[in-house]
Amino acid sequence: MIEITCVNKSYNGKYKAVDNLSLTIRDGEIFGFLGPNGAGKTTTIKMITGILSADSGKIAINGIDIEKNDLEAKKQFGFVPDNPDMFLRLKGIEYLNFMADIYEVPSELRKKRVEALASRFEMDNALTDQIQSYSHGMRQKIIIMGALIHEPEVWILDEPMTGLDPKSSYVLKEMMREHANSGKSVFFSTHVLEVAEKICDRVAVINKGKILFSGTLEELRNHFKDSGSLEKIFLEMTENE
Amino acid sequence: MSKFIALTRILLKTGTQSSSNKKNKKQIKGALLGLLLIIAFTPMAVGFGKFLSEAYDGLHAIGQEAVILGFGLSVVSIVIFFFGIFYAMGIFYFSMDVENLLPLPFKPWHIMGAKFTVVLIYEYLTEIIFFAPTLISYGIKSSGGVLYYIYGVIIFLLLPIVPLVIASVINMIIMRFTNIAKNKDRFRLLGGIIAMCFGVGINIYIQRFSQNVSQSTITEMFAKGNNSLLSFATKIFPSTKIAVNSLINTTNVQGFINLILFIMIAVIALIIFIMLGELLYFKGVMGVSETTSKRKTLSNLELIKSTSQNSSLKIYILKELKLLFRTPIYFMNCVLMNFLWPIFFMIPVFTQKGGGSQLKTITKLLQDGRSAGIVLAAFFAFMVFASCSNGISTTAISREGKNLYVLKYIPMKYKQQLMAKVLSAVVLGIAGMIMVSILGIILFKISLGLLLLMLIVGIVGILLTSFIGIFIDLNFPKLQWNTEQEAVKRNFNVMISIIICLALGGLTVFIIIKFEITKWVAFTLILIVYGFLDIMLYYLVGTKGVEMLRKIE
Repeated sequence: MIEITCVNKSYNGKYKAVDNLSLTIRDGEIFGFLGPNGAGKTTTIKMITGILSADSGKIAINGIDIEKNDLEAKKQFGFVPDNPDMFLRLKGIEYLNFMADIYEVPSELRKKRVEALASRFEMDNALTDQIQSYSHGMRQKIIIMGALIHEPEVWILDEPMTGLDPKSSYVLKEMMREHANSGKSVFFSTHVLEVAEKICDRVAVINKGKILFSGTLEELRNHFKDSGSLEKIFLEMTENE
Repeated sequence: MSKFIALTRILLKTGTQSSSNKKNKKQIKGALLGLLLIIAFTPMAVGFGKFLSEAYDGLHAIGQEAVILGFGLSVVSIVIFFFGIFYAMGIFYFSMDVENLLPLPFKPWHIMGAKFTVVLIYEYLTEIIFFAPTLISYGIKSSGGVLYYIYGVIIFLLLPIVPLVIASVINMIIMRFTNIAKNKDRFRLLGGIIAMCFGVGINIYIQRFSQNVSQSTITEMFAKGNNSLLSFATKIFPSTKIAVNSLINTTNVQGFINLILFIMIAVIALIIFIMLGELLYFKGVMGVSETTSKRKTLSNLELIKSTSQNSSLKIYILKELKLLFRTPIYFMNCVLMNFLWPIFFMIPVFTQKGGGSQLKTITKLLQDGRSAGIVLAAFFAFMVFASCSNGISTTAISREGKNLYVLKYIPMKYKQQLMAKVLSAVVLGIAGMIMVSILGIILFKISLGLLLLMLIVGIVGILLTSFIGIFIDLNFPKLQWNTEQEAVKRNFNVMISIIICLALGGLTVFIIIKFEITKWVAFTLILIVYGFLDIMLYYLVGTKGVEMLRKIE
């Protein structure tokens, strides 16, 4: 569960990237965060994960405040950033092991999880190679594996499908569904509307730092009855602002 | 041509750009930094100028004053050549921007030329420090006319070309052949080391060479007058002789002819560079970032072995070290430098003819109980210098670059992460120190008792520089870079850290010599003063350091 209450963030004291934003991501749901480029999606995610600190407002993950008790809050989630180009000189297995140590996963458990994740994402034979030698999609996969190695309650994924092949993308969506069905929450940003349409229980649309809509897709469609497709609704919403 | 200029401009911009956030504060800090550098270098420049003017008077009396210019030009050529090997390797081969440039419609010479120009501009900075004072003070002393200064500027601009071309060509040849190998990173490293050995080798050669001239020939040359010493001073880079001839003959046509000759040599060098470059560069640089992959599945046993649990601090330090060792640029500039300094210092001892007797003198000094205080202080200062010049902790934050955010979302205390970075520098510092100690035991037969004290003050010193380094980097992190080269080589933090550490080390040695402090007093003094500083800095990392890291966005 993620609770965001009246959060503000501006850069250089002028440009308001996030404007009085409030959102609640409940347990057991997949929550899609939609918006055009530069709408404030990544800034919001950065504040949730403790990378940026909010100017004002409160963010809590499973009830733990990210500002006040950052270490505990950080243990609650697994985070997949939008750019997977990191730790390039480490081998896949070394990266996973690094993350497992940081999140204090016991040896026995991590071995099982590495095996399970590797076979699910078909990365078995790549773990001994440096991440540098991976393709974009493989880098994305190893980062996702690293984020899930401690079996976090809350998943936070920034554009997770970028670069994944259809099979891996399918696997990830399947895993997100399983995770939500087990009573935990998934929060992810995307600008691919088809993905949102297929797997999200609820969505929020953000533009210029403000939440334009938050609710189920059903509600969204009812709200904009005349517009037709989700794409049209989206374009209409974000352009009228 | 316009493409070449546009590319050069872009390459320069990406190298010097600073992040846009909090500009005012940055500017103030930048100004303070500039001031610090000026304060640090002014006494040096003034002292050097004074020395030159006195030397001029002395040499002028025997008609040998041009030797000043000759030596000045030679020294700067050697320095440029040596730095050039590093710069060229980094900018031509290790900077990843090449991959983005290859698909664009550039001719090979556009890319090479632009990169060469960038290196050239960096070398001008070197020249300002090493050559401008000589040029100016000679001009003042010899009351040179306008023509002298015009010639001077032209020579200043063209001088680095020949040494740089040689350095680049050496790199191109080595890299052309290491590119064949499958494990590119590793072979590239090897190539880098070979190039560096070239540098060291040439250094040794020069030292040997300068010793081989017997006393009588020099006296003879001195006696001849008429600047006959000049040819001796400029033997290493013959083109410098032409430059000097042009500078000392500005009043007659001889000078003009020499200037034209010098320009022609530079142009020919550039043509050779372009021609060889077209032949070698692209083949060497293509696939520069390729790494091999074995695509091997881990066996059950291997998997158990590679998933054993460690403390987060330990794994973090290991991660830092792995990245340092595996990234060629970091390996060359941080790891290798760490072990090379002692060797640089040893070169004169081994190359000089009287090296053996020097060795004996030092051994005697080391075994003489009375000088043990100085030995301790000198060792402390040396370790401080060696461990701060490797720049490991001074670039620890900068090296994260755009991925700095990773530090912020992983559930590890900032203090612990900072300490892991400091400790990775300490680990390598101590490794370097152990190497020095082993050399010390073998060459100078240091007693074990003294060695133990040396190791302790050494560790205190290494801790000190590592803490200072991390604070400097927290203050001026250089996070916006495209190539790893920019993070470590074009990072002024290392320079600041060296200035501070040299000052501290120098002060310590000075005090101990001045007050004739003996072994145990010196040991206690260093241990208490710097040990206290270390503890204070450790505390500050947890408070101020964490606050600073939090603020970097």
